[in-house]
Amino acid sequence: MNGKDEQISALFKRTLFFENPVVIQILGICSALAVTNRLINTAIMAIGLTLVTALSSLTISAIRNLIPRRIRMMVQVLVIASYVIVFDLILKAYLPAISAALGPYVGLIITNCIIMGRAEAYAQSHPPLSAFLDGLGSGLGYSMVLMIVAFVRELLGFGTLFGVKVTPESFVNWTIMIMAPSAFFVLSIVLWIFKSFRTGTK
Amino acid sequence: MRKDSPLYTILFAFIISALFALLLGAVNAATRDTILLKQKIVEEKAILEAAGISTVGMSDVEVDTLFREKVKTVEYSQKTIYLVKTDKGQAFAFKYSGPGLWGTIYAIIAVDESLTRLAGISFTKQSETPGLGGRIDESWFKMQFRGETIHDTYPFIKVQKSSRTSGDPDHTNASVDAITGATQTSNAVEKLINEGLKEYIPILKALKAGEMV
Repeated sequence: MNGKDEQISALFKRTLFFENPVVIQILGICSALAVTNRLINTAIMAIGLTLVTALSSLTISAIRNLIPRRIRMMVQVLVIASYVIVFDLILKAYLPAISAALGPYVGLIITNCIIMGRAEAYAQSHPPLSAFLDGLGSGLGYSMVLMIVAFVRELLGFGTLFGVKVTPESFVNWTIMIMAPSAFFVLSIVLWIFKSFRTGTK
Repeated sequence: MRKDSPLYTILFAFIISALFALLLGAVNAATRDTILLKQKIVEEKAILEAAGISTVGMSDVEVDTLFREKVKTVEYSQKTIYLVKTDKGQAFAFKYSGPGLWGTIYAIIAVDESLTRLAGISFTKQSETPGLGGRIDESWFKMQFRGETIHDTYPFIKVQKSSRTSGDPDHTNASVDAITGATQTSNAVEKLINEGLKEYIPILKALKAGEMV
């Protein structure tokens, strides 16, 4: 994939669909399973990951010619960790309830393979603007899948969407949807749909 | 200087680390006060709520003002006790924590002036299963404890299974309804409250006796 002459529309098609980090590359699964039982938590997590991926890719790309090869991974982790801590502090200060609900998962964005993967596979070898867009696109690809999973889980598990009751009174909540195992089912189904659709268009 | 020389590598590592440390230090300094204030407000809300004072819809400043007006913090026999002025007199509130199903449950337990009834309970931090054990933070569950009689002997309060869905309406039986599908969490809450009362009731009695003099 040559990013220098890649059109923006082609880039987003790639990151959202053909090379979607979650359903095609199977990266970032841990948090995809953990934070998807309520849409609001998922949305904040998705925003956080997208911002961190885009900004770290931008930063790493901007200083890519200065980074000695031997310590490039250390530098990548340093950049990523710094942005994650900044995001975590801002959440704690301004959205404490959501920060509490996400628990350790905000800090764990650092270990999300998508960010490190984009830094190593793309930002190291592409100019800053392309790297920023690639990070943004990958983050959005992750966000899209997580929101789909969270939509299904919150709807069936709590009978709500963004905390607003949408199902009739007679609806019995599927408790299993709130717990971790259901994330495996829902994510696998989403993955299956994406893969077969992708194979179909090729 | 060559980019792969050891000296350059070390210098680069130092400079880049220093730059990012500086950035983090700046953000930390800028947000620290807000974060501490938010944590304090969460705790103040929980103490007021446990004593039966509603803070729904109040801004942080209003909560803080109300807290200063209603609550007096005293240190007694190495414990922190919150004396809360309520419309029924005075309530004694204290922090207590115990193991839940997934992690520690941090609660505020409040006892009324006579020390024979609970004033209420609230939770400041819990990581029970959302939608199951996590429902301990729903108001129907917490309301059951409001004014519930404390039994003379251990267990002081029972959390029992029931087919009702809206909680135990009887406030004289020293018993509240457990949460369906969350037996472990219900048991954990029962243990937390009873251990808390066992430890604090004698202290509160002594404190009250001391106050009379």
